[in-house]
Amino acid sequence: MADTAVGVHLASEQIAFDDKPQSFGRQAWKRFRSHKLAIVGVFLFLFLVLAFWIGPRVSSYEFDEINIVDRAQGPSGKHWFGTDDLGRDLFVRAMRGGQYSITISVVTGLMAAALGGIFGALAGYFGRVLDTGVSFMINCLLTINSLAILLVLGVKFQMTPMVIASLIAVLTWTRGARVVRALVLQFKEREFVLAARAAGASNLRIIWSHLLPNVAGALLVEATLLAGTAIILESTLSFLGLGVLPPETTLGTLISEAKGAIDTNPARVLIPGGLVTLIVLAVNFVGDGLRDALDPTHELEL
Amino acid sequence: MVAYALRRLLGAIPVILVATFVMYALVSSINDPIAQLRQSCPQCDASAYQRLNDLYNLDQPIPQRYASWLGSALTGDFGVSTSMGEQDVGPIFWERAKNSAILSIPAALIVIVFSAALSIYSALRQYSLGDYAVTGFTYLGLAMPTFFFGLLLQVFWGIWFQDWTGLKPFWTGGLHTESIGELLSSVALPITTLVIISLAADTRFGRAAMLETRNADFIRTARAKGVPERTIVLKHLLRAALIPMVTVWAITFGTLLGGTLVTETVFSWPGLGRLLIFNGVYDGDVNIMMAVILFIGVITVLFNLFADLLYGWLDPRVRYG
Repeated sequence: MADTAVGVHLASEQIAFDDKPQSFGRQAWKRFRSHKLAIVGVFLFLFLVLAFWIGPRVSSYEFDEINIVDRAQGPSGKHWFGTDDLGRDLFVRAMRGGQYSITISVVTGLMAAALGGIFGALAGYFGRVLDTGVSFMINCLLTINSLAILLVLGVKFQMTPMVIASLIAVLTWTRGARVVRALVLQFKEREFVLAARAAGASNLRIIWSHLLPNVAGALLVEATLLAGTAIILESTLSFLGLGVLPPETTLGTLISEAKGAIDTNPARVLIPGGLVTLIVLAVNFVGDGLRDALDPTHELEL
Repeated sequence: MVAYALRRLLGAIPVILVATFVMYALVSSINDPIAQLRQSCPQCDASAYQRLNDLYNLDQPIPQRYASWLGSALTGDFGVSTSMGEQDVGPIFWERAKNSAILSIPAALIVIVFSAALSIYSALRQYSLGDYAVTGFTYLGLAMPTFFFGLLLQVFWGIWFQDWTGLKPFWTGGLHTESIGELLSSVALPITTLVIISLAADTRFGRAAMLETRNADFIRTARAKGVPERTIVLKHLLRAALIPMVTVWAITFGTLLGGTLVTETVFSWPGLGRLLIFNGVYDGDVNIMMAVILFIGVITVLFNLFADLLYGWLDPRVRYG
């Protein structure tokens, strides 16, 4: 679907000579806009963000307000998503959990992109020992199951959302690093880099002002797709009982708590699970749109 | 190619050593069997502590403990379990590995067949209703956490379907081996869960691979010189597009063999994943944990190598450097 969209735009740009010349940014924006799923993703994401942050203000309940009389109820006009075993309002708790899921995904995406960008650029640009070292680190990380490490750490240390986000980022920056490394390897022999070097630019300057802008698009795509992975990993971790400290909650924790009540009140599992799926869907839609917009020559990779 | 394979295997050894050492150091520094004993058995005397020391070399620094663990692991001795009454880890491990394989091998085979079929269909009928359905399925499968899909299956077959029809055709948890029918009924839902999640990823990749090949020059040439469409699809398109897919399948196979942690937890399946999570992580059983971690690491490395070798074998243009 996206392939033809790109083709059509390129063709129309070549024919319409009297149009203003378009920067890469403008072309990318046009490609992104014409990617229907990406637009759906953006609006879905914005809607969820608004709901998660405004929802708790609309409701008259607090996320940690215990009300034993109303415990373990199904969805109703009074409690939109029902209540848990302590009578806490599940609508407010789901919104609160959604806030954490979104925060964790954004923070993880940014941190993993930063790590992947730095390591990938260093490995690709300087090669030799640095390249071998970074590849070795990547291979080690790929050999260990990230969920297993997260679980081991989760048993011992109390997790805060920021700790979870940093850990996931430390375990998953490898994909971004591989993409950046490959691109830097390609670009570093190109004329504009040679020209910069001939003009006396330092290595750091070449990386920062000449190479990074060229890999930023691909890195942004990886960061977005990684944000989706982070939500799934976080919710899995909470589902296995190793999430944030109560009474705080995340969507995975809500599902985990509702497991026992699945026979009597399946909505308690379906609602938070559906919300996780919606967030990841929105993020992946945006990621695919960004890929088609920023990286039109994208090749298949394993 | 043999030289290349050997070089890759040799290169993988330090990776596995460092990865397992990091895990060993992490788990050992987090878990303190002496403190656990003090808590669980306050009346125990010094001889009990001494015994624990002797069993797990607790008086030695972690690198030395790792070295002696590795030494015995290489001879096939994975030590004794702390959480399961000092049994040998080896037999427990192989029993659980067999149970995991009951799920992962059929799941991997189903994924291969279905992802091939779906991506061929989807790519040949691009923009048709069926193609949109396949694409929608891949998006949904990739967005849904494994445990949530497993719970959905349990809710559907365990509650709703039973309420409507009074029948409960599948077990929603546990391994039941009384008869072949029971076995099939207990593997159905966990295998479905494993299949759906991997199938989404592989089909998405396969569809893209097929589409890319379909637009390649050699297909246009074949069409231009009048090769029948059927021959183009079977002889030119499929052969070329299956090459990248085969390598993805090899990796899927490795992933499934190594990691069915979440699915096993949801379906209370007595496999390696549950062993790792419940005995290894929750009970802090270092030897159990390390056996599973080592297994996952070796499987991952081997299947990645296998994927690369397959790629070179199928595509003669690839030369090993």
